[in-house]
Order: sequence, then C-alpha cells, then structure tokens
Amino acid sequence: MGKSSARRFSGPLLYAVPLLFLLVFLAYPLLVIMVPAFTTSGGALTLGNFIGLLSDERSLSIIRFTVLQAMVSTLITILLAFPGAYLISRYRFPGRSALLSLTTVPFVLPPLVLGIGFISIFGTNGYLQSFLDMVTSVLSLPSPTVGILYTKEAIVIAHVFLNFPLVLRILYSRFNTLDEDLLNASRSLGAGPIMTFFRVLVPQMRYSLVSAASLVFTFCLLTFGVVVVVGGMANATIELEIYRQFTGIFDDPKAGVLLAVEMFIVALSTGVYLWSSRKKDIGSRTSRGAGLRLDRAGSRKPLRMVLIILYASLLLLLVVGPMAAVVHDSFVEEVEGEEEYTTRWYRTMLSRENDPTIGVSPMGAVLNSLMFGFLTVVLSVPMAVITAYAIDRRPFRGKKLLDGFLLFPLGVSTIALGLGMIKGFSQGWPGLAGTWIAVLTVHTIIAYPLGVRAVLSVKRSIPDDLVRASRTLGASRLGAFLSIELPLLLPGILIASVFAFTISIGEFGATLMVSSPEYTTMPLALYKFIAGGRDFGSATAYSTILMFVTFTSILAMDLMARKSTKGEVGI
Amino acid sequence: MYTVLGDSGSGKTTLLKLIAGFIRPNSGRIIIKGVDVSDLAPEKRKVGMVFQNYALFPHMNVLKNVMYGIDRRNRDPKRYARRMLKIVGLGELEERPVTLLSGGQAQRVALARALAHDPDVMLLDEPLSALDASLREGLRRELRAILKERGITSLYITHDQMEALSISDRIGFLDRGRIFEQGAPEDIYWRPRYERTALFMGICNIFKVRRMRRGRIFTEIGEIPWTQEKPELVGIRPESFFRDGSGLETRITVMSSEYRGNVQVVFGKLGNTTIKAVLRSDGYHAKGDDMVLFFDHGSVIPLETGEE
Repeated sequence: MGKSSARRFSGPLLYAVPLLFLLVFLAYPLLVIMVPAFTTSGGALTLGNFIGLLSDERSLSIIRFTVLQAMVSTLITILLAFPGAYLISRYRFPGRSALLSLTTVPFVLPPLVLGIGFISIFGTNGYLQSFLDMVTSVLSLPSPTVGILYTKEAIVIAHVFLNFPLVLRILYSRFNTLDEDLLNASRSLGAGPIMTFFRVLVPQMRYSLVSAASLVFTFCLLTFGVVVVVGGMANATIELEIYRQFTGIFDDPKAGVLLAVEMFIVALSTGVYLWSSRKKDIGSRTSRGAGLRLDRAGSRKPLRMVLIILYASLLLLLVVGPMAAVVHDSFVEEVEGEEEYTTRWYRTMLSRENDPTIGVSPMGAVLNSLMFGFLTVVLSVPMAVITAYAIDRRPFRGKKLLDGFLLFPLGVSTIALGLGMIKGFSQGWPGLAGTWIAVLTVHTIIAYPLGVRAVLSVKRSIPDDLVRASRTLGASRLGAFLSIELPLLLPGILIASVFAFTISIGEFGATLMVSSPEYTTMPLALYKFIAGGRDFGSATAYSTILMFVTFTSILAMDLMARKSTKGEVGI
Repeated sequence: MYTVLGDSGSGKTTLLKLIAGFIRPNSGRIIIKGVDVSDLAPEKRKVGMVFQNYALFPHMNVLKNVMYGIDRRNRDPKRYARRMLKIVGLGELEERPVTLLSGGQAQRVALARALAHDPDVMLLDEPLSALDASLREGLRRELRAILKERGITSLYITHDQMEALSISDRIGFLDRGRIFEQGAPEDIYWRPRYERTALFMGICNIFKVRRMRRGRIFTEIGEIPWTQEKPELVGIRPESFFRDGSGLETRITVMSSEYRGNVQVVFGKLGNTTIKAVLRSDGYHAKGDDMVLFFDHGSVIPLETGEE
C-alpha cells in the first residue's frame, strides 16, 4: 500500500506547538519544585529526602489525611448519587430536564464561590444556625452552636457538595445506555427486582462507578481553594502544605517530596480513571440505545414518588443552596444587629478607588478577570484545536504517552504549578513572576485540556469523506480545513471557549501564586476579602457576579451543545 | 465507463484513493489524459469523485455544495451550478439544506457537484450501495446516461455483478490488488476465462477436468464431448440445467429445493460435489429424491484457475 499523501497536516508540527508550550510552562516549573527532592544540597542525586519522609510524622499525617478525606468524600458522594441517578434515569417527572441541566453547574462554578456559599450556610452566623435557632426556640430547647466550619468534616462535606452533581451525571448517563432487555431477561428467568438489581444491574455499572469514583478522588486530592476557605489552614492537605512552603518557611526538599508523592497518587487514580472510562460495559454494545424505559413517576408506587422528591430536593440543596445563600447574603447588611437589604456591596464594587485589602480597585479586579478570561480563550482554543488534530491521528509507538502528557494539566497541582513558575522564572530569565504573562500562561495550561476534549469529540463526528470530497473538488488541505472542517467544528470550539473562559475567571490556586497586586482577579479579591479584611459582604457580591458571568456562559454552551448533533457533551 | 468488480479487501477503494491522490504509489505511475499526475496533490488533479455516503457538506445547502468545486475562472458559477442540478433533475431543490435530502436526491447532488468541477475522470465508489434496491435500478440508468452524454471517462467500483453488467463498457476484476481479467460485459458473462471471474458471474458449478481422451473430457459431472484443448476446469451455469431434454445428463440426490416464485433452486449432491440448478418452478423435489438433470454440451464453459 502506498504512503499516505503528504498533503495531510504534518504530525510533528502539530505536536510541536502544544508540546513546546507544555514543556516550558508546565514540565519545567514542576521539575523546579521536584528536583530538590531528589538531590542533596551539594547537587548529588539521592533518595534521602524520601527516606527522611518516613520519619517525618507531620508530613506523613498530612499525606494520610489528604488520602483519607478524598476516600471518604468519594464514598459518601457515590452512595448518595447512585440511587439518585437510578431514579432520575428511570422515571419521568415534571422538572426532570431542568434538574439534569443543574448537574452541569459544578463544572464551571468556581470552587471558591462554593466555599463562600459553604460559609454562608454553615458559618456561625449562617443559615443553618439561623434555622436551628428558629427551630429550637419554637421547641423551647437550647440552641446548639454550629461548629462545622474549619473542621475536617467541613472539608468532606464541601467536597460532597462539589462532586455530587458530577457523579450523578456520570452515573445517570451510564444508566441511560443500559440494555433494558437484560433486566427483562433476568426477570423472565425468575429473579425478583432486588436480585435483578444486585446481580444484573449493579455489575453493569461497575466501570462507571470506578470511573466516577477515581475522578472524584482525583479532584478531592487536588482541591485548594475550597479546602483553605472551608477547612482553614489547620487542616492541611498536601496542596495546602506546599502552599505553606511559599508563605512561610521555605523547605525546598520537603515541598518537592510532597509534590512527588501527590503526583504519584494522582497518576494512579488518573490511570484508573482513564482505564475504566474507556471500558464499554457489556450491554451497551447490544443495546438498541433506548436505555431504561421511562415510567411515569407515581404511577403505582407512592414510595417512588417520595424518593424522587427527596433526591430532587437533595440535588437542589447541594447545587442551588450555596449559590442562593451567597446571592442572598450579597444583598444583606447587618446594621445594629438587624439585617437590612442593601446594594451597598455592589456599589463599592463599582468604585475605582484602590482597595488596600486586595491591591486594586474593586472594579479593577473585575476588569482583570474579564481580560484574562478573554485572553485565555484566544490562546487556549487554537491550541486545543491543534492538539485535537494531533491526537486524532493513526497510532504510533509512544503515542498514548505523548497524548497523555498533553492532557496532563487536568490532574496537576495548581499550587505547585504556580510555585514552580515563580521559582523557575524569577532568576536569569525575564522576570515572568508577577507579570500578566505568568497569569495568562497558567490559566491557559489549566484550561486547555478540557477544550481539547470538547473539540476532539466534535471532530470525531465529522466523516472522513468530507475532506476527501473537498480535495477532489480543488481545495488544498488548508482550504479544506477552513471551508469544511472549521465550520463543522464550531460547536466544539464554542464549548471549548466557554470552558476556557469560565475556568480562567474562576481559577484561584495558581493565580494566587503568580500574580502581583495590580493583576488581582476576582477570586483572589474574594479570598483576600475573607482572609484579610473580613469583608464578607464584598466577597458575596463578587461571588454573585462571578456566578452570573459563569451562568450566562453555561447557557450559551448548552445552546451550542444542543445545536450540534450530539445532545450532550461528554467530559 | 469502466467498472472494477471485486470483493471487499481486493483493493478497490485503494485504487480509487491512488487515482484521486489520497495515497501515493510505492511504484508505478498514474497518468490521466496523458499527464503524469503521480506526484500531484489531489486538488491539482482534475478528478471528480462520488462517494458511497455522498459526503455532502452538511453546513451548506444544495446549491452551495454544487458550486464548491467550480473553477474560479468561471464568470457565473451560480448559473453553471444550476445547469448541473437540472441535468440531474433537481432544479427546484437548490435552497434545500443537504441534511434534509433523501438518499437518491443526495447522490444526485453529489453527482452534480462532481460534474460541476469539470473533471477529466470521474471516480464512483459504490455510489448506489447505500440506496434501496428499487432506487438503484433507476439511478443506475441515469448515471450511465448522464456520464455517457457528457463523455466523461468513469471508473465505477462495485461488488454487485448485475450493476456492473448493466452500466459498463468494460469490466475489470480485481483480486488482491491485481486486475486478473477484463473485457466487455457480454464477453465476460458468456465466456469468462478464469475461475474467479466465473464465480463472480454466478457460474458456481465448476469441475476439475481429470483427463481428456479421444475427444472427450472426464470430469466429476461425467464425460463431455470436447473438440478444443483440454481445459483445467469446466463450469456450467445453474440455469443451464433442465428436467427433461436430450443430450448430456447427470444424476443427483436432492439436498434442498427452494421455491422462488419464478424459479425453483435445487441443490443436489453428486459424488463429492454439490450442484446448483435453477429450474422452472413447476415441479417439486423432496430431500433425498434422486433426479436427473439434462444439459447441453454447448453450455459447458472452459476455465483456468489462474493460480501462478
């Protein structure tokens, strides 16, 4: 067979662009942090630091805690979400599709905003407290103080808030591809509903369960913003500890060791995720695609109805609760012990005066975020398209590894990235630290892998023959790309843009490290309001604006997703 | 119109890809209208291609699709495109988004689009196999008429023997990358040379010739008078057998008998081989019955194996 026509886009060239970018701005900073872990102060290679880790009780307990909280969070989330996903996929009820769109929210909601919402609800003056006060005063009982904030439990609860909708969505979409005939066959062979559930249904779900669990586990390991806001600095995860190296004592080898351990664990869980998400469960192959038959809820069993209402409420609470709390709080001010409605916080936001707490004017922070968001789109979307083209080629030796590296930022520690950027680029090189370039590159690196997935999934649905047809009609390879592929890729590109934008405006950890006061973004301002100035009001106003911008973007994304041939975009 | 017939895996699509320019040949050259195009990119060769799945651009309507390949120097591409659409009989559909077309309409638009490009050669990759049987016949005739009328040399790929017979000026048989036999449809049908060709044309009763002596050849189906050279194999069409008659006969044991409305298809055992006979449908044969089949020695076709 002849060689492939050299009229395709050159493979090495395609790979070169994202590869170069990642090597310089991702691999290098991470290496800067990790190398001290493997060397002595004299420069010799050693594993001594790792051995030293074994006797460092503090570090060991941090690692233990990090893994433990991730496991517990994952377990609780799965147990909560599984029945919910089943119910929603099985039964039709009013508001079902609205409920489903809610599950998209956490993908793009800045985790920091969730943290603020958490404080709103679970804080000492939060809604939970007020609710308990009200209930106990009615019952004439002493009112308990809500002491959830800044505990280990708070971290777990916050993680459940964050991940419940995601797991629900993953499991739900798997339930939808189940072959109902398998269940019917089981029943016809004499198994009752409970036996069928455990012996036929659940085994069908095993890969999705593993996939969802490993994904949530990875997220829970890498979160920073939520953990620091909700758990405080006392309950340290690995991410927090690495951050501490920056703000406090600078113990190079220790930071490197912790990072290496974290990356190792993340590599394992990401590997499990990639493996399990590729598995097609048996049954989905033989399925006619109809999925489980939808019954009208409550047709015969009121218990089902109750359960559905329960889960719908739970979902609403976990997703909408924090957001509603924040929005409400942003319009409220405590004046002489009484709560009054006000637009004070929003009015201060319009001020262009420099606010010492955050380093810029409040308006300035908003503008910074928008600017970085826009620039991130401009940078990351073309890179995502190029990467998608690089990945969607015939396999060659080592390709899987290469592609994995290109998508590596999905599982990277944002704190380490930021820290590495500062350390790596502050000496010799043009001081990138503190410049807008540093912020931009960090945002681009974090945002672009999700864009790659969006573009890739659309690209794969374009039939090969279209490009061939256009070539026979006289178009060059580039011409074919511009006139045929690009218009058809548009839905994927738009989704990638929305992802890039929302991730950029919500990014906290890495931005915290690399930016300087005049480039403060909204999440940074948010954090500084709470941590430094105790200005909760402004924090809630910022959060509300962040949410507003995020949601308009999601709406746009949903409309685009509906326009393309597939109804939903898989992540 | 040259049709390439072959099974899947024979290399039909590869052949088209080579001519169109999507693959470069390892050796040898490709010459179109006297010009060596082997090193030219696809867009520089003047080939028109019609794909099995139409490959219409989904984000353009019918007219835009047809206009896509029209020479830039053409002063009124819209008019030219409309003319092409009229030729294929779709004059009124120019505004229609291509995703709303039926299979037959889509394929016609694909043809119009390729024609508008003014190709030197037209490549058709199983253009009708995605369509219903009833549609295929009519569209087949139209395709041939249009291409003949415009005098465009065409290469047609199919695995359907009947399609090949009805539209071609010449048929070539592809097997494992080589054309091992080619010729006009009638010649191929009545006098195929190779066993593989015969099988393609529906001659499934093929027998080895053991020896020849004194004007007769000895085969599994019996002795047959023979005036020519000794052939390697002989083949007999299923339609060449009759229940009664004179001349050569052979005895079989019925294995199955299938009623197909206008004919009865009988499979019978003869020694170690199976014979397929297509007979008139007014007779029934039970499994296990012995029956006699008559055939004329003129319907015995000499064949070669073609193995090297």
